[in-house]
This record gives sequence, structure tokens and C-alpha cells, in this order.
Amino acid sequence: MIEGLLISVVGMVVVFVALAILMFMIMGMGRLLSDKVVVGSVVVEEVVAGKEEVKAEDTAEVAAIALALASYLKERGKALGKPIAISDVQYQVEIGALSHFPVSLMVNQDSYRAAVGDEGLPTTEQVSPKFVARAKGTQSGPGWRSAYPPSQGKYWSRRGWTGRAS
Amino acid sequence: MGLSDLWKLVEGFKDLEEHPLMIVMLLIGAVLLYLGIARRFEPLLLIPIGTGIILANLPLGELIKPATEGQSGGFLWYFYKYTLSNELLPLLVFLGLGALTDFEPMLSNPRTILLGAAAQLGVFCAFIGTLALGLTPWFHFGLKEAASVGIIGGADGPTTIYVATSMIERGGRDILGAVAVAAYSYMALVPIIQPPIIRLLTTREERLIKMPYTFRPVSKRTMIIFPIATAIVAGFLVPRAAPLIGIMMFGNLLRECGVVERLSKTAQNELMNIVIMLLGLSVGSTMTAKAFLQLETIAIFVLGLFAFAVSTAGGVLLGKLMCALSGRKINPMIGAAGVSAVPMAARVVQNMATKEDPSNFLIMHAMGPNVAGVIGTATAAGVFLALIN
Repeated sequence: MIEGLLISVVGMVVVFVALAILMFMIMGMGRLLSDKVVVGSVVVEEVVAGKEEVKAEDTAEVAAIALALASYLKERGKALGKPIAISDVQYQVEIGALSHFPVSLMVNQDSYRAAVGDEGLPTTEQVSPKFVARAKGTQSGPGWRSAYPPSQGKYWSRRGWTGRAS
Repeated sequence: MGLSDLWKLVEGFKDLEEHPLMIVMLLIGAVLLYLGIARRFEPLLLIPIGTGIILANLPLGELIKPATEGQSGGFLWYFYKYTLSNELLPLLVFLGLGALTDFEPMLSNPRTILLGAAAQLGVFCAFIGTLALGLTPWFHFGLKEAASVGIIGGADGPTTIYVATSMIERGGRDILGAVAVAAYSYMALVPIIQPPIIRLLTTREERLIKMPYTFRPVSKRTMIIFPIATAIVAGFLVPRAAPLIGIMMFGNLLRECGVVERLSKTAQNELMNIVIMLLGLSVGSTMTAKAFLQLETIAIFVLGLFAFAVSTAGGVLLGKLMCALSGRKINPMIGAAGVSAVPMAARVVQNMATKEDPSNFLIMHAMGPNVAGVIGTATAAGVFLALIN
């Protein structure tokens, strides 16, 4: 019986010591082998109002907008003026020939090449209504409008693809 | 063929007349099958054990007949002889257990490991209790039997079987069947045994303590090095527990290293399933009427329950101490999860916490002591194996 009591006391001590060593070993491993992941910390960066620097991703977006504007203006026989202003911030934009892909752009010294797919946009012909002389008394066919239905898709704006074009 | 040979067809009934207690064992086997199938109490273990009891107690004992010179033995005897008596099956279960266990909750909050140590209190109290019973004229329990009974308090089936088998090898009495069934029965009854003890030892205010869970990521390197380091440390501290902890950590290494997914899945599924079938049948086969239907079996069941209850109380009491020392930041209920019934004990704690407050989630905090309890029980087993010869 006394031997049993002794075994019990020694046993309990050994179990506690073994698990305590294991605990300290795990704590040590946690410190030595951690991946230095900081959880819950917030990095705060001071931003001075009005002195925002233009970042690379900003100029890329400006380049996309400038390309769209240039294409639109070219269709109307106009050219894009050199500085363009978006949200009161001015950007120096240089755009290469729009007729050849990829189109070269430069926004505030950052150069870009814009293309659609691997080969660029397919060349589109100017579409204009064709008036065909119809013989008198023949059944009238569908007008040219039905061959070119209104757009069923969405249009892209700076905020992304939006609702159906009205 | 003579007329006397026809008598062999009804030999079973003749054997029943000579050994009527086999009917009781067949009923016990049927009860275990009922508990496993209808009540879903540890079905993976109780169904093979129940079947093993029935097969072992069939007339003439053909299935458990030992091999003799020129005559082969029963298949259950071979199972026992070559897989259980040499402690192979419990070790293989530990391999699967290691592959199944996620030590991350313990590694991310190592303070709770000590609760797994406190929950081994029942092991040693039941050990002393068994020795005390052995002093009476009705029971013949010595140190070896006391160790087999005490380890039930760890709530770890494979460790219990491992210790009981080792003690038989060292000359102890064969009480393997009784301790194994007691261990697995009480593991299944953890949701019934633990809550009253936890309620008795804690106040409502303590049970309501919330422990916000902050995810602390554990690096992959830590997860890989942990099983290797633990096997080495355990090998030095408790060499007799090295087989159990070593193979468990090997299983865990297979899981965590991430490059042997096939081996990890095999250890978790196919190997584990085969081993559990063999283990259950082998344990059941040891439960013959002669070995099981004794007054001592009842004592083993009572002592096993006592061990479980004291282990739960030990964990909760250390939890209360840690609660007081930490300024009520630790819910003492998580100490009850220190018994190694994974993950049943942790679930019990979670259920009790949500009963008191549906917004209180303790499961991740309880998983730490729960898996630490497995290591604690293996360490306690190592102590018994080292000190009792």
C-alpha cells in the first residue's frame, strides 16, 4: 500500500513535470519558429491632403480612360488635349496612333501599351445605312435598323461594367 | 460413421449443460451489441467487442482454443496471441490516433496543457483505491491489477489495453476484458458522467466566463517539429511511454508533413479500421465466463467510474485555480476536457457552456487540454510500466 502511494505521488509529479516541459518546449518553439505573422495590427500611414503621389495603378487607370476618350474624340474628328483632368488632378498624357495595335500611351512619364487580345481589335468598317431602290409594289422588307439591333450588353465606365445601355 | 458420431452434432447443448454461465456471457455480448447498434455508444468498439464475447463463449470454445502440437487453434486465439498479447494493436491504434489528432489548439495555447496533467488525478486515485480493495479478503488486487484499473481514469481505451496487456505479461491477472469494456463504456458515457461533476465544482458565474478565441497561427515548421521533439523529450523523460508517444507522434508527423498524404490517410482510415476490428474481437475473446463473471469485475467497473469522476474533478479544480490566478480569464470547465476522451470531453464542455450562455464558445479552448490529456495518460502509463515489475 505504501509502495502504491509512493508510485501515485511520483506518477502525478512525473506527469506534471513532463507536460510542463512540453508546455515550455512549445512556447519556445512558438517563439523560434513563428512565421512572424502579426495578427490584428493595423498599419497607419500618414497621408497629407493635397499631396497625394500618383501611384502606378492610378496612371494605368488614367491610361485606360485616356484611350477611351481619345477613341471617342477621334470618331468625332477631334483629338485629345494633352493634360487631362480627373477629379481635379491633372495628368500629362501622350497617345500614339489609334489605328495600330498595340497603342502606345504615356501618362506622367509612365509608358503603357494597350491592346485587346493578342491581335488587337478587328478593324471595323464605317457602318452607314444603305438605301436600296425598291421596286414599286414589292413587299417592304425589314428596315436597316433591324439588322443592327440596339445594344444588348452593358457598358463600361470607370466604376466597372454597369447596367444596360439606355 | 457410427451412431456415436451423430451425438457430436448436439455436443454444443451438452457443453451448455456443463457450462451454463456461457448464456450470461452471450447476453452480455448481446447487450454490448444493443448499446453499440441501437444506442450508438462507441459502436466502432462495442460491436466488435460484443461479437468477440459471443464468439468466444460459443459451446466447446473452438474459436479461442489455443494451438497445440499438431492441432491448430481457434482464429480468435491467433488474433489475441499475435496482435494483442504482444501489444501491437494498441500501438497501431495510437498511430491512427496521431494521424487523426490536430495539435494546433494545444500549440496555439500551450498554457492549457497543464489541465491535461491534472486530469490524470483519477488514474492514481483509482490505483490507490484498487490497492485498498486488494487489502480486503474478497478481492485479490495487487500493484499490477491496480495499474490496469487505475489507467481507466485516463479515458483512453488503447492505453488501458496496452497497460493491462503489459501487466498480464508481467505476471498480473487477466482482467483485460473487464478493464477494456469499462474504459470504452465510460468513454461513451462521458456526456452523462461529467456534467454533474462540473456543475458540482463550479459556480454559475464561473461557467459563464467567456474566453475570446484569438486565432494564433502556428507555423508549419512548428507543426512538423512538434511531434519529433515530443517523441524525443518523452523518450528521455518517460522511456516506458516511448512506444505509445513515439508511434502517436509518427502518425502526427505523417499528417503534418504534408508530403505523404497517402500514408496519413491510410493510418487514419484503412489501417485504423482494420486494427479496431481486430482489437475489438481480440478483447472480446478474452471475456470468457470464467474470467469475467466474478465479483472483481463489478469492483473494476465501480473503480473505473470513480477514476473517471476524480479525473474530471482534478481537471476542473486546476481550472478553478488557473481561473483565480488569471483574474477570471479562464473558464474552469475546460479542465474537465483534460480527460483524453477526444473529442467527446471537449464537446461536453462546449455543450455546458452554450447551455448557460448560447454565445459562449469554449470548444477551441477545450481541445488543448483534451489532446494534452492523451499525452498525459500515456505518461501515466509509462510511470506504471517503469515502476511496477
